[in-house]
Amino acid sequence: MTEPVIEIKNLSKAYQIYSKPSDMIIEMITGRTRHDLYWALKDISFSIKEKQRIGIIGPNGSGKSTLLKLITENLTPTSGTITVNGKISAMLALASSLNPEEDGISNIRFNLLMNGCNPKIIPSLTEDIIEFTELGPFIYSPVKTYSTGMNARLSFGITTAMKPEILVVDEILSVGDGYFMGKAMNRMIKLCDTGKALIFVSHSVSDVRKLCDTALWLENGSVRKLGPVEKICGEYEEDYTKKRDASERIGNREKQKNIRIGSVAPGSFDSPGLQRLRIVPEDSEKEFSDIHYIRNIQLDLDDNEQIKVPMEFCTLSVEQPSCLDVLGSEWGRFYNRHGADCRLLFANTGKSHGGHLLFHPGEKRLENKEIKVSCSFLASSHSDTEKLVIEYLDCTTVSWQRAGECISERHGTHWERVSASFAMPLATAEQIELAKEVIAMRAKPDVEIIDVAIYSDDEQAVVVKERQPFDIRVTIRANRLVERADVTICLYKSDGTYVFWQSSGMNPDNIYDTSQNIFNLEGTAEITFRFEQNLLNEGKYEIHVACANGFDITYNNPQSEQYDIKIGFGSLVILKEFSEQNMDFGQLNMRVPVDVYIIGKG
Amino acid sequence: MSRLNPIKHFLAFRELVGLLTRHRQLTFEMAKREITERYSGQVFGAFWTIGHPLCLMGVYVFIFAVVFKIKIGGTLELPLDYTTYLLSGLIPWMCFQETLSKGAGVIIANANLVKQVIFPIEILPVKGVIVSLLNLLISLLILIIYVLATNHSLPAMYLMVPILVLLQTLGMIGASYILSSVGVYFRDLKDFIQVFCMIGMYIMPIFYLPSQVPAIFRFVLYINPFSYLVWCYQDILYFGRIQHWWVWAVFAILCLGAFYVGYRVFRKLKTMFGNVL
Repeated sequence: MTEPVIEIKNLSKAYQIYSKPSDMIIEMITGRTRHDLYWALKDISFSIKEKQRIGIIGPNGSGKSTLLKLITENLTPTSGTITVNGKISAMLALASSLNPEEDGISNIRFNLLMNGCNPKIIPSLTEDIIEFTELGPFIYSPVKTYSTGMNARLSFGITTAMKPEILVVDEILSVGDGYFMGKAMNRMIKLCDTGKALIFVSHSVSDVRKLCDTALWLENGSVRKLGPVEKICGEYEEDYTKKRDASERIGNREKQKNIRIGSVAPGSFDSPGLQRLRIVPEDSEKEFSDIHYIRNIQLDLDDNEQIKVPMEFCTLSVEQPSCLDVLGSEWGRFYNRHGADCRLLFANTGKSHGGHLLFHPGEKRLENKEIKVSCSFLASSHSDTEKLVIEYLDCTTVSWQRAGECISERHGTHWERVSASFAMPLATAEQIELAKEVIAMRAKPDVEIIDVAIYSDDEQAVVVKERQPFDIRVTIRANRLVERADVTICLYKSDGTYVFWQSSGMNPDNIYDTSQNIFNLEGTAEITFRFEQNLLNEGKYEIHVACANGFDITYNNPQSEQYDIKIGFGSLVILKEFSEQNMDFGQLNMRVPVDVYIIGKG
Repeated sequence: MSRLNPIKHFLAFRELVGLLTRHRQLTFEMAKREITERYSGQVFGAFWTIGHPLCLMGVYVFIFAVVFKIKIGGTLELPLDYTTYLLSGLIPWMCFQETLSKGAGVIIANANLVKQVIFPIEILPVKGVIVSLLNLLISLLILIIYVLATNHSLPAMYLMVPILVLLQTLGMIGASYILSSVGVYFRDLKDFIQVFCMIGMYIMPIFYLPSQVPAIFRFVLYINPFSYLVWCYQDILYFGRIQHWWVWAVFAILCLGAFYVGYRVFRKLKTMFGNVL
């Protein structure tokens, strides 16, 4: 077992936030803390093995760039350790060290020197870079005349010229054209094979897929998932695409918002005995409009057991009967405000409404019908305009209930104490089973994509030969009566390139024909896309399927409401059949006939 | 006891020297870049690096030697003329003040390098010193030509100039380290320095002899560390003899001390640069 190239243990990074610069001086002189701490990364541990290519994905502000800067030592960790075995070369930002007034050649020389290159080998490296970047005569022009893409080429050429052992690349290559992008990727893979490791940050999941073998999903400053690239990217894309879609579609937005605020998330009752409370704005119809800082959450059960809810990320156990639902609800980063540890709470699309906290009342109390709970916490916010209240999840009615009367009182100069005492009904095992069913039913979309299958010669298949006709059969089920439904399929090559797209509401002449939509659907329907003429080349394809309330490109896309979307639901493999070199059709610009067969209820 | 261990202190010194020799190519390249960058696209280009100090020197000589007609020199005590006296104090100070005002902002000005590129940032304050040194050498050359033209010979003490320049360089590097690292946290520093540079010229014995200052104000000269710089240069360039050995001792201690303390302060504060910039 070789030792890891990069080992990261319990790494945390906090940024000090001063409201004004003079605070920093006063703090230096008096020694009294006058700043807030923003925990960009909290307690991260992972290691990178030899020859591993790791891709870091995550939404904006999840801590990706901070992590890279910590690895390259441009930032120092607040706590935890990073061990790096090898020489790092990093491309953290575009053209940060290029001098716009000088020409390409002198910039190459200067940057190589700055990266610690031996002056003797500069001429030969310069030749390599000129050849690789293909800047041609531009290499003799001042860098200020370069386009963004040319800048990226030069930066990348310089960074990789010295054959670093560990290459760190932040999201910047996306400005280059496709040709250079491919070239750069090949080079990165080659470098990783001869060197030690590659760390690549990108918002483009397909780039990460092409380049990396492992993916690290960061969210809210902690590692959400780490694993094989296909698996993690698939999950990320599913999560991300759903979120984006929900926020982009006007048809979805209002509905989604209302559902989200009142809804009970699936899985809420999955662990027996676990009770759920949430902190939400006083106006129960609304999302958070302010940024809140919450700390010191305390629970008092039946007036005889006090529980302090930790603000850190943790899991439940016998010793730890209570925790925050950091990943599932709207909790933000760990923070230090006015000298006290707290956690951010603000509106966050795609997550359960409010700041959730879980507690286990203990086996003994579960025998009772209800439990007396007192809950209190300290809160502070930016503009002090929004009051917070506590709600509990009532499993007998499967809904959120206001926890009695919530009392707010000032606590010191910056904080406000919110407290409530209430009786919370405890459900029996049967009631919980019932509640689960109710939630499952509610959580179901109006229309669900149940199955995607490939048929060839009326037999189900995964592998199809070149030129062999096949069908893609999508089965959908309407959980409630829907006025109109339309099924769309999308084929992507496994390297992420788009190949084919068709909606069922589109006839073979490539005309959008809304009359082809499925109307008044109730129960199950089967939609078959018949690839009578199979022009797909050999390779592996992924099938993405979506179902929306009609498809009419001129009038309601993307306003249409999307019922369900499945990313990479099925995969299709085309086998090589003909020995001669085939023409690569690339993107297929054709339509195939569609059959709709309504099975109906039952 | 480890605080007083001289070997440990010597190691810190050697570390910096090692770092600078290892990256000497880069340091010079950065200094060169600074000169070309500042004046690129201008007709007279790099001429301005010496054009600025030359014009200033000309103005001072004109005002004090021609308009005010201050006349000293010709005696054993004061061997050379007033212009030489003025220039021998003015030249080192102008070089030092350039370093001071540049040093306070050098890390902030190069924030993107500090945050995004892996490279030894200890070089950044040093490159400014090299540029100022270039000006110093050119100005000294002009002075030497002037003395040769008016006096027809050079005092033997002029051979000591390299030692002074070396000491001053250490002092400037040290000051640059302190100002650049503190300037990151306390951004008003560069304005303080600018004001000090403007009035500094008048609170050190450049235009006048210390004996001309009323006795009750004379202490100002002694508490200003830059007076020692001026005195040492005047000893060599104007008087041609060492008048007070203790002035030289104070100057040497100041320069070496600044160099040592500066490097330590920089090392200590640089880990936090990324957070503040």
